[in-house]
Amino acid sequence: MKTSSSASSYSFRHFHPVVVTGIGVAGAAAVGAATFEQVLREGRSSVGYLTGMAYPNGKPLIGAEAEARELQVGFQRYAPGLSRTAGRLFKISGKSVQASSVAAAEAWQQAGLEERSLNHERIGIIVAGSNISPAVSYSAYKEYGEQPELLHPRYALSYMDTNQIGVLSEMFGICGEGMTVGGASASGNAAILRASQWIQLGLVDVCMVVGAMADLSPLELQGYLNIGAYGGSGFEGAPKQACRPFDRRHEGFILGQTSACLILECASSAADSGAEVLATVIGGAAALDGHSLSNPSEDGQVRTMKEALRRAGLPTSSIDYINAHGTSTPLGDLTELASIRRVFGEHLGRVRINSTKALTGHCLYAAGVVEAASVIIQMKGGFLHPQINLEEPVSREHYFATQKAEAADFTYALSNSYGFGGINTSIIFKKGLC
Amino acid sequence: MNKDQIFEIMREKMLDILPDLDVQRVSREESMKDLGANSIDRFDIISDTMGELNLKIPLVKFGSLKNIGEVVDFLYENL
Repeated sequence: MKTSSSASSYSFRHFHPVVVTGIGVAGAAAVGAATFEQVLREGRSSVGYLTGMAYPNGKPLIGAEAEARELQVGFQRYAPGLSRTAGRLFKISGKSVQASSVAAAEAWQQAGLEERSLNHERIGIIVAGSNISPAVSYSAYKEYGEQPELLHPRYALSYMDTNQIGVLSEMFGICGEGMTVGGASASGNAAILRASQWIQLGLVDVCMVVGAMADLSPLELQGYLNIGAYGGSGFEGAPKQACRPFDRRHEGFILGQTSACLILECASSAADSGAEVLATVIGGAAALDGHSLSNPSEDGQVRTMKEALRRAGLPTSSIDYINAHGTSTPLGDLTELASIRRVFGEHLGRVRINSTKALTGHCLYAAGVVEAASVIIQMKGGFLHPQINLEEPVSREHYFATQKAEAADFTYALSNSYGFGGINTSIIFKKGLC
Repeated sequence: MNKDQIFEIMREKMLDILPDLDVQRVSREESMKDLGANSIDRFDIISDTMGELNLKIPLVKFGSLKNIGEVVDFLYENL
């Protein structure tokens, strides 16, 4: 029996490899992974305006809003392969659950799970995020305010994050373990890590990991504005320039509404099925700073990246590419660059860095999964997506992506996600099978 | 709007919500519960029907109604 000691002995190499066999994307950035690849190659920003929200000066709030109509069209493509109740579940669900189901259906199909005769008790679901849909509560409050008895009884189910689990399990007939994993903006990475551990431990053979699209109400957005974390006020009339990670004119994060899904599975299960292995989750770690605030910590980030490398059994020199957390927040960007400098040292000059948030906005709970999809699509497609809006980098030492897509042959990529409350996560992906 | 039209709207909503429902079995005398609608399904059917009729009646007021016919009559009285 393994026992804990002062130094963790947990290593991904002690277990069967965990591989990615399906990717789905649904939301403002793209509906469909193939479209998302085009978006990445072309450096197309999905940032525009958020309906009904304004900066303190009354100008419309910049953000990347998912279109309900596009999700509906996306869903129709997959509905025939889902449970008989799926159509109705989609119709009565909020936008976040709708985006989750479209992304999940695409990833499910790519992994060939429709045709495979898997025991559905060996499939799990992890939904990344907590407090996922405050917009659902906010709109229900209007009904309640009119007359409490008019509040729809379904609200007792739909306000809970775990409603996502219930709906997805019914649509796909999944009967293994299921839960939500919260880690603020690091939720996506935390969920991928937890799913990998389930597979390593043999609790499930396959796990659907869904990065849930945050459906925030005006309260949360106003909170971000009031705390000074929200950017874009200096980019009136030019929303696509507002999200600019690592650029001197970065102001704060810009909300993005995109959901993504990965199908993770044990390499042997993938091999048996003949499913194509898109990437391997080769290492990863999560660690706390021990504080409850929104400010990042260089020490925590360094510790997390180093532990992810140790668990992967890789030297720092093996990492070709970092998909940074890079939210376009001045302190966040500078802290992450300092952390990367400390971890990569002499190799700093050859590690390519970009942040997908420049294109998608900050997808909050979903960010880790959206960015994992971005990493895998780039590695598989042999390119590095442009870092739009990076005109005056805050660092000359780091080797950032440029304004145009570049051909690139990456084998190992690191993806960072950090959350309020001192939550640090890093994951390392390897192109193809281990 | 007469009672037959309200019944027709309810039947459409039921088919929407209960995809396996045998349409022949839907009658005024039948209860939604016996047709396989659980409590949330029943609230959904009534809510959706009210939406079409532009009615807003607290759902608790439907609790004592025994069959589809009684629901139709109650909706009709409140038009």
